[in-house]
Amino acid sequence: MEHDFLDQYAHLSGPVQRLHPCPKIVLAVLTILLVVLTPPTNTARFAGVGMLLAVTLTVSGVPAGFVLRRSLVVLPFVLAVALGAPFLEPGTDGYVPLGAGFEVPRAGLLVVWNVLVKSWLSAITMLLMVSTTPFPSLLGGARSLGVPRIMAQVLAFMYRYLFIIQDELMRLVRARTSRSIGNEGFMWHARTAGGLLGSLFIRSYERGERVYLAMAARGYAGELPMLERQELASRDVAASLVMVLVLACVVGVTP
Amino acid sequence: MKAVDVTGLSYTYPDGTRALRNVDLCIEEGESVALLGPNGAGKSTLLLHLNGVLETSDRVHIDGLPVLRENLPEVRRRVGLVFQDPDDQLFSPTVFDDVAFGPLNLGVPPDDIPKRVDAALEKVGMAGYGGRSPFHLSLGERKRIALATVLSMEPSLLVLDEPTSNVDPRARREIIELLRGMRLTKIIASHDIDMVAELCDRVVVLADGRIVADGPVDEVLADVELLERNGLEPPSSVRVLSMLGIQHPPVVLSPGAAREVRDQFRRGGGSSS
Repeated sequence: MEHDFLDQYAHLSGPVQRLHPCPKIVLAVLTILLVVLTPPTNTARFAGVGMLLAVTLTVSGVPAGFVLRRSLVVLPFVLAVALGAPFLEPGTDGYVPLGAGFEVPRAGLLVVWNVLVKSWLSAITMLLMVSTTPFPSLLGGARSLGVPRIMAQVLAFMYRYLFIIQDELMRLVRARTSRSIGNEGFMWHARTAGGLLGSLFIRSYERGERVYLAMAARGYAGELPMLERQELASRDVAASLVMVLVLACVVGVTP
Repeated sequence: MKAVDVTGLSYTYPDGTRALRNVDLCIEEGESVALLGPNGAGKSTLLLHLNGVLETSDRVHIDGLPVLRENLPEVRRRVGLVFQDPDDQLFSPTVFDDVAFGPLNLGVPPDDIPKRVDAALEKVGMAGYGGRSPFHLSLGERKRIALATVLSMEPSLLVLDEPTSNVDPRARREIIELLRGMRLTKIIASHDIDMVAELCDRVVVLADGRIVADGPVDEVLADVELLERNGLEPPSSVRVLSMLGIQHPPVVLSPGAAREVRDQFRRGGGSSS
């Protein structure tokens, strides 16, 4: 079964892909900080960051639809938070009429806008970073930036086995479905789902044991060796400084 | 020098299952030995003892070295154990990392790693796959990469658990030819009796934790009665020819063997009894 990998465009050879993962992670975090710290009324700065992201996206060669579609994933979570906000804010700044005799407080609308624009721009920034960096390099970069070894290892195992376990679950579900006639009720689904998850857990647990045996057979003694894959080149430093400068300019022209 | 020397090895799993009962096995350097037996006969348990993964025991010697804790690094370098499911063996995000894993554990200097990895991938016909994620490869390709992950440790003994299971005929053929070309001592546990007939010169049959037969491949695989008593089947060529009354049916039907069978028929050696 084919899976949508987050980093399926990471192996294109564009300037964005070539940038060393360390400065890329730092730049992404800087951009997100900038977005988060911008007052909600400063729409010009949001537009500036948005334009910067659009340019980066174009240069990277990653299809815009790919990133935009994935960025929508954050929407339900954000909306759940943001939609309640207008009714919590007192209408000290006056009310905006919605028509038909309804109105909402202006300050509340600002909260919705604030949460929406910031989380969406941040999501795009993260997606841009993840989809232009192969996952292993991203892990390597995170490691050299001081992310604990155990975290990096857990993430590496997750990246490797998530889809295998997903396939296993799919096979279990298929085998269940092929022995049912299609008009079973909710209780049947609930009962058998419990069994499925239980057997998936045991399978994963046993696989973990076999993976460990295979690692031990090759001399594993508790330390995962990691090779430094990519040296930080002067080109990376120069490119990163330019990007920081551009970010500073965005801040400068939108006081 | 004996590549493998097992004397009086028994093993009982913590749940009380007696997997091995007093096993004696001696394998000379350069031999290619098949380990046959029904599921649960103890094949995998025996394989796991060869590099001390399950437990260490001085009843097992590799190249004269007892498999004890202090010898584990050397034993694990010498014994290349390839598991049946490559997804158990390949755990890294990239093929390169996995093939580099063993040598790095052995303390090979990082500068020499790429050379080792390239050489191992080259040997299994997967040169240039270093940057790929194992998940994107076919099962046959993953089986070959799993083989490369132990070849990069430059072992003297290759231990394979079901190297041809679940793969399509072409991938199976590629794996067989690959193994045929490797001049290493080999132990192959398998149900693929035709592959065993092609690749091995000696067959050991395991049943209920005991070795019940040990002999040259053309004797053991031609002994229909022995195989069936132990829940196994002879190669189909052996079955057909022995039904036709051919004495000492060949276990692999090479053109030469086929001509011999034809001549035996012409001399009237075959009977329909």
